[in-house]
Amino acid sequence: MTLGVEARNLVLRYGETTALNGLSFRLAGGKIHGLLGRNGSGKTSLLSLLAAFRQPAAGQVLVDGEAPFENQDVVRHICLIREGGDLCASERVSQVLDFAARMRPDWDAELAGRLVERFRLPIRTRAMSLSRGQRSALGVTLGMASRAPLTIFDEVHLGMDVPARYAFYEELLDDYSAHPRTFILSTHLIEEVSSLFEQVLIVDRGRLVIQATADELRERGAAVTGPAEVVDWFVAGRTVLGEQRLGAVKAVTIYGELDQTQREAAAAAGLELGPVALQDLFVHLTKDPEVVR
Amino acid sequence: MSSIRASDAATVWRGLVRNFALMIGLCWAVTALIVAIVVTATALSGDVTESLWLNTGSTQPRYFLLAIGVMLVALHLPVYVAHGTTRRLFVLVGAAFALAISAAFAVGIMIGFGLERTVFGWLGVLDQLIDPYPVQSLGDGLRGILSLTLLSLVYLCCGWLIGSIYYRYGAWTGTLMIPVAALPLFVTEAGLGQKYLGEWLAQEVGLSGLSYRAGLIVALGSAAVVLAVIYGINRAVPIRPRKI
Repeated sequence: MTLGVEARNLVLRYGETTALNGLSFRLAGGKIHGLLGRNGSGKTSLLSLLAAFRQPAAGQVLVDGEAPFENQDVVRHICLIREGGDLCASERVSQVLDFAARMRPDWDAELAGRLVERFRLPIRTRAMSLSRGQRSALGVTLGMASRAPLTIFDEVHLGMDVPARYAFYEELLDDYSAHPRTFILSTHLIEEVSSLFEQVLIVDRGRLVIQATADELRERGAAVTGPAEVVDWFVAGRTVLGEQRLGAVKAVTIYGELDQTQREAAAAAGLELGPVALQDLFVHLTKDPEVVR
Repeated sequence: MSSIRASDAATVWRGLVRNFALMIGLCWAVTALIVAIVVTATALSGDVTESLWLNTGSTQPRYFLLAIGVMLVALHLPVYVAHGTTRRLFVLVGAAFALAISAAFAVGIMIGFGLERTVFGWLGVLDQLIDPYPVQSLGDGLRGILSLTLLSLVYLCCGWLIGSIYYRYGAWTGTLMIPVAALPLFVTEAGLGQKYLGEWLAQEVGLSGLSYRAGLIVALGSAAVVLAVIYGINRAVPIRPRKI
């Protein structure tokens, strides 16, 4: 079972602050979606609406075609894991997992047990006594083992160390392959996670900046590498996202698609073209709200 | 709004029972300890002139229920919503849970009276009491269970209401609203002629002569009003990120 998501003109306000301002998009079910945005861009607010933690001030959220807010048939299939963790802090890890097992209709106890071992979670320790990294690992375990058709991780892996994060990515891919469902990952660690994304959604200032497949996004620019003077000639007049130089060799990341003629011209000039890094694109797209997308 | 499945309600019910089993056990353990200390002290002094259970074991459990009510929202609502439960289901099952543990507490209190009366009978001190023993017959016991169930329910619900106001509107509003949120509790005490503030309030507002049946109606009405307000506050409450 996978769940598609649709947002129509979503508006969410906190007092005077508008967190989401007419956000609309559609996410296909059964894919891994990346949600990117700067601090305060509205990512967490958006995810709170998708998981029915909040109600929009205006607009509509649809999960599998139904509004999730106060809809038991829908919310039982949604699992949002936030960095702080929505659990009884005074309970031991084993009790937290037992509780989730009782509440989640698709809970996989075997997977939970395996993740506990892999992340070296101390099951007799109370949740409030866990380190930040351990709390993140507990969140990941709860989200993965829930097997919820719509599973959302909101910056949950930020507290984990590098081996734990890579273990998370590996487990996510393996489990997704074996049990396809809809994942939404919100993160700041873009380069580290970008290879997981099939679709990417970038939000900024409560609005949708861009929605595309990861491959489409990477084709929106190019990394041009070669002799410095040739690279400078080729990128002249283009939007440069970043550049690096090592001796006479220069690598420049540019924004804007290259057609076949331009690609052939680059090759003829001895330049190498590579895909643009998602992180560079993200920085560019969220830098200037008026940028042409 | 989707209909409520019995299986979902049962899941939330079992969760709440497990959440609070330890605290309820602790409550009765503390009660037993206090009563044991008081009974021992009284026995050593040799003066038994009133029911010891009336002034120790029968009153303090209600404050545990108040605390359970406060915790329902602050600690548990966000966790249940995050685990795929609607607020509506949580409030409905929470109300049933509140009624059940209130009844269990009332039965426990009445069993305490029964035990104490039996012991007083064995010791032959029933005639030495200044006032007649509070529970004289099975009928008294059943009437007591009913009124104590409602009183306990109102205590728990007032705690739940206080917790709900804190969670939704913040600490300042929550603190300022405590007297208002606790008012049904005192009205119920007054209506049922129960200690402590209620006795004083009953005299002040002229509720002291209220019949048993009228007292039950006052208690039922208070519980219904408080539960309705709890539902109104919680039905769309945002689940904010929490730090642990």
